[in-house]
Amino acid sequence: MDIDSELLTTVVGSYPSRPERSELINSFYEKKGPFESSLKRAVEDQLECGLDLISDGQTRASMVDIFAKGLSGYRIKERVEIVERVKYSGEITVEDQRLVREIIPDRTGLKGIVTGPCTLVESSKDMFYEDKKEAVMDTAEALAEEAIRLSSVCDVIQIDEPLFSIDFPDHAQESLEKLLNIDVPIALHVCGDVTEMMEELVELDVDILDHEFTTNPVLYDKFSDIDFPQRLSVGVVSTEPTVEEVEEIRKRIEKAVDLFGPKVMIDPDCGLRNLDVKTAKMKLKNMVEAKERVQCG
Amino acid sequence: MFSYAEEQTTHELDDMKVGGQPGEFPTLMVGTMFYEDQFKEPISSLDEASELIDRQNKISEKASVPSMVDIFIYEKEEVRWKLDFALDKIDGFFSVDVPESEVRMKVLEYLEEQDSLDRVIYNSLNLGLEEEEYELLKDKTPAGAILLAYNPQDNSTHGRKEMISEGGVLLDEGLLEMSEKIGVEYPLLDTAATTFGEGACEAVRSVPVFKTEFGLPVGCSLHNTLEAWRWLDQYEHKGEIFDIIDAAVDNLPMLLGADFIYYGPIENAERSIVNAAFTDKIIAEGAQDYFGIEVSEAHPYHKL
Repeated sequence: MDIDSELLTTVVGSYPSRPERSELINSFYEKKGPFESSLKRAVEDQLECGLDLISDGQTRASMVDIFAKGLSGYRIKERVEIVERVKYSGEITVEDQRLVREIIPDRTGLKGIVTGPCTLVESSKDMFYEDKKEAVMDTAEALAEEAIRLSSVCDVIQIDEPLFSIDFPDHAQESLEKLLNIDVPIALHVCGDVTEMMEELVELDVDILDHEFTTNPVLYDKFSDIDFPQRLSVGVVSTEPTVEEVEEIRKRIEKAVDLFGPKVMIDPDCGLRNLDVKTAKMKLKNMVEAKERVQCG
Repeated sequence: MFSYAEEQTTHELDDMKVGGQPGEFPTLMVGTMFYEDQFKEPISSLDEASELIDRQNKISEKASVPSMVDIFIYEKEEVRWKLDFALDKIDGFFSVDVPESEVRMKVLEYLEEQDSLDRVIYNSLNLGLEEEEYELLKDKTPAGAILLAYNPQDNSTHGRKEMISEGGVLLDEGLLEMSEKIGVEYPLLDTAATTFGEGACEAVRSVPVFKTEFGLPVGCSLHNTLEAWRWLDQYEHKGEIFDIIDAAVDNLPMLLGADFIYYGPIENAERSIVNAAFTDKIIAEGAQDYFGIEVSEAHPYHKL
């Protein structure tokens, strides 16, 4: 796929494809991974909607739990805990991405997703480190290993740091730098109103900045007031259950193109995990149709 | 060797005792038949099926290790002939292993028709239990049930324990509470052997945790983890090595206090049961001289 193409359509990551209980128990009897079926459904839905750059749907668990389960040093009990030094102990999401790669056509791109180290540490009860920065840096190093492996399978790697919308810690930049040593474009997704930390965000050495423009329309003005080197990925549909009309989305896309040029990427504001499948799919379909209307003039 | 501080329940299934402290009773070894494509043809294969049961009984008696037959049923059409065979051929308890909820309900109906629910270990109550099946179970209640701790949303030991105690995020109530509401007299906790990458170790680690938390008989079928080990498929001498490991894997949960083992196809009765006798003897020796556990009379510790 051509990652540089104009008005590239994508997703932030999560998709509401959850396996039925009967599917889960069948996977036990068949000695297969329990989430293969939900992953395939998430991928098929995204392909059917006509997206250019898709994700694996993050159907296994929440964005925090997926990595807390996979990294040595984290554990999940009543909540996520850090109980020893954080280390990389093997591939976490790479095998899922390989499976997706096998089933998507060459023209479709694949986005690998890594939950950022600051968000992971902030979402956990730290019972090992005395210094938060040390926990973040060890987590960043471990996640960097995953990002390197993902980059051999994916066209774009996205780092999710929702924490940055409410707090941009002193060590944020240093921790992200550990994750940037890969050869594919890197996107940073931060949801919420990021106007307060916009200056810090645009200083980061990432290729794409991805934000919630629909929920926070103030971002259109704020980003048009500053210079920044990154490509923007603009959220043009909300994560609310109401499905926006195609025309409404078209206007948002046109606004983004007017302000930031045709190289903007188009996606929902955030992950769609909390919607029902029908709503999520309709939102993506309408988004792609709106983009096509913009391209047709 | 070790002993649990918590009281351990013992179920008496006919003359077999399952549960208790490590070393107290020999491990109940369960062999599965009609597994996958075995015996799809009902008539021509029943003689062979009978021979396999006889063989398991003989080895079991010789090694002083109790055994039970697990009847695998995939489809509704198989319910009648497989259960007819089991009811005719097997004296006392047997396990009925059925993946699909709809088929399990047929099994319950037919067992009630045959007035034989009191001889059955229902395999299993698990996260796939539907409301209709749950209600039917309350009316047509098998004497025993495997409570399968499989929890794909959280395959840690904690997640498996939650499936038993609270249902995790997938069920509204825990499998143990469900079994109590149903009226199951003999609940047996299966720690749910999973593949490498899906918490294979947790099935073993859950054995002592379940014994401590619930005080009920605990076991698993770790041979499933071995069968799903893709690396071994490429190994040069796979057949020979597989057979050795297949018997040896049972030692892992046994050493941690497992009370029953689903050892896999009943064809493997000899290696699995003799292996269990050896391990049971080791465990009993350690339990008796150090913890003062009274090893049961019929134990291989005394008999072999």
